[in-house]
Amino acid sequence: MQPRLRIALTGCRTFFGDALIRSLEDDPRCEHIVAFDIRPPLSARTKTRFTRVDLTDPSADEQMAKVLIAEQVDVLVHTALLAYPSHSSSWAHELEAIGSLYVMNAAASAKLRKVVLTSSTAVYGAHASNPAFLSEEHPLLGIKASRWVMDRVAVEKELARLKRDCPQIITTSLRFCMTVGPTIRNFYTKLLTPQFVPAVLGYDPLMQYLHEDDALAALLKAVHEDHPGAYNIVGSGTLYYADVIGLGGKVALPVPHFFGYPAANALFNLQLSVVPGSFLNFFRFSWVADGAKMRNKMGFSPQFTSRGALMAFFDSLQSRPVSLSSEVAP
Amino acid sequence: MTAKQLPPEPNLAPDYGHRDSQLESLISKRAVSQFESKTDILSLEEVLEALKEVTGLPPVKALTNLIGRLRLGRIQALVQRLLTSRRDRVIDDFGFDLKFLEPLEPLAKWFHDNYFRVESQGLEHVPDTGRVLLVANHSGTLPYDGAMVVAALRFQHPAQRRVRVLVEDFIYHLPFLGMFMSRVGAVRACQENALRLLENDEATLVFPEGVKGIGKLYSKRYRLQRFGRGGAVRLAAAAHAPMVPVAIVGAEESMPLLSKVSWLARPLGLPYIPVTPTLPWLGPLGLIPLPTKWTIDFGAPIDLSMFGPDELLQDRVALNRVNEELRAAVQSLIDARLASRKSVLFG
Repeated sequence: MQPRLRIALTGCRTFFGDALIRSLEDDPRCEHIVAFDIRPPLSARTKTRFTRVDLTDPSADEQMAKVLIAEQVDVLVHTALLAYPSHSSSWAHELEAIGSLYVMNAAASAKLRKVVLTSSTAVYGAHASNPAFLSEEHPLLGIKASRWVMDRVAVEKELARLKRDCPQIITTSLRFCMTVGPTIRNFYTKLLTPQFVPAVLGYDPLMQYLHEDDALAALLKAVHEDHPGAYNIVGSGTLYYADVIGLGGKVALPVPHFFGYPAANALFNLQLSVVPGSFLNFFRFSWVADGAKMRNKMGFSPQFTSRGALMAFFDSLQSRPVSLSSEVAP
Repeated sequence: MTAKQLPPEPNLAPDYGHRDSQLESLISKRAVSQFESKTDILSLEEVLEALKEVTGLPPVKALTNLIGRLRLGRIQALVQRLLTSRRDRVIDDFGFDLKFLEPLEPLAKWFHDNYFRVESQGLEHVPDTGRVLLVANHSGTLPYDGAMVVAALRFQHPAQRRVRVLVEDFIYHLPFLGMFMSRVGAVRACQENALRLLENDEATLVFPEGVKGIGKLYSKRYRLQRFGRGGAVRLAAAAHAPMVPVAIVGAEESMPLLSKVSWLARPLGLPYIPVTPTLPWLGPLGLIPLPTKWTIDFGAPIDLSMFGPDELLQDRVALNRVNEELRAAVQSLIDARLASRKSVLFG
């Protein structure tokens, strides 16, 4: 029988942290879970041990390393990343870029066996010069004007640095494309929730989505099996953005791009929207990632296509709590 | 293989099969309102005939009569079909939408048959199936030459091959243009995309001269520019695809480029703003090319099999030499055709 894993994770209130705890609590292959966050986990039962760590605290690496060594952790899953671009970008930078530095420091000094990162295909950036399918070897250009994307690129760089400094640690980066589903709430689901959806006039890039179940399954696979390197985790098939909007019965609000950037920035700075101007690139240019390495090398294929994931998400938007309808029913 | 789009997508989320699948209802709805025939588009003969019949009538009556005769309803249906977002759209890896292209094909055929009267030679050098890299000269200010090569192989080749064209990056910076080009099957020119096309056994058309070729002045017509950095040869070597040189004659005179305005072009994201005998002066009408007689010559395929596997990819000097040979092959096809041509307008 395989030795049972001791798994640590950062960000136990994020979607991935919470879902990971829920599935590992029932998993016989997991001995116990060490959770780091500033708030205790919601779905913890008997296996989970919570340690309060603030990643913006300069001593976070020391606190985490102490716990990691004491609990003899094998695998660390780093999910403490923001689901939305934050309005306070300097705090977000401290949490994501510098916080990841602390996490990697702790991983290095605790001599862990493996570190898994939940990254995003947004690190490639949306550019007109992108090939139709971005491979894992494509440079992580990000989007220079966006702090959120560049922080994510910085997190990837921290992981690469850990791999260089401690080659014995297995490092896995799972680059998820836009992850949607009935329960996950992030930047991409928030954009597609209202009746009016932003679009850039005259641009209609191909889009790619991943169902949250598939995202979690890929993460569990990376935790239990060893897959060093970066992997794009993407649903099969692509859709035009116009079809994405049509599929949800939404109405597109097309803005000309020269007007859209300053307008979106103004709305974002007034805290009226979740889209900073630099994000318009994601509706302007294609940033579809290639899932070949995921299929062939990791041996993982998602259950849902991009269209299936989107339909599951849009269906979940229409479902209402039972109590609402039972009040009016006779 | 990869995240290749299989029409129709196989697993539409088995977990919520209890719901009405939106897609299926949409497909059945569209099947009912199916546009009756894809060839049912205005032909020039029909317009002339209708015009002939209404001449002599008072102007208002003539106009209403003409509209009635041409049945503008079907044009409206065509436009509607193009404009409506179709949620059940089936596309390939690069966003090629066959249903979008089909109504446009008769237009391309009309330009190919009646306007440019394209004459194609050596079509037998293009195989009926399998990968092939077509390497052509680029000319004519606006990329009508790409459309005509596509039309020639679609309407004259026995296998009716659909050609995928590799296009410049700047197209994708511009609104609407990039949207249109990717729907009709054009692909941004880069090694990754082109390799994927060839590995899918597509006939792929490349203009190695790029913007330098299409944007050369009329005084330099039919003089081939540098063939990039040898990307086309590297591509053919990597994909083990035969290279067919293609010479397009007639495009240069269809829109002679007299001058280029570059100071205004840069802020607009264009490589240049062309000045032709018609272009800025007649407004949008200036986009219509002159009805020159076109010929497209397909040369004998250039065989790279004498080089060992990956030999060309490692030997840059040999690669550059093959690139020059390729350029010479296209240039000699052009020169031979120019020598036998008597008239620009009638061939």
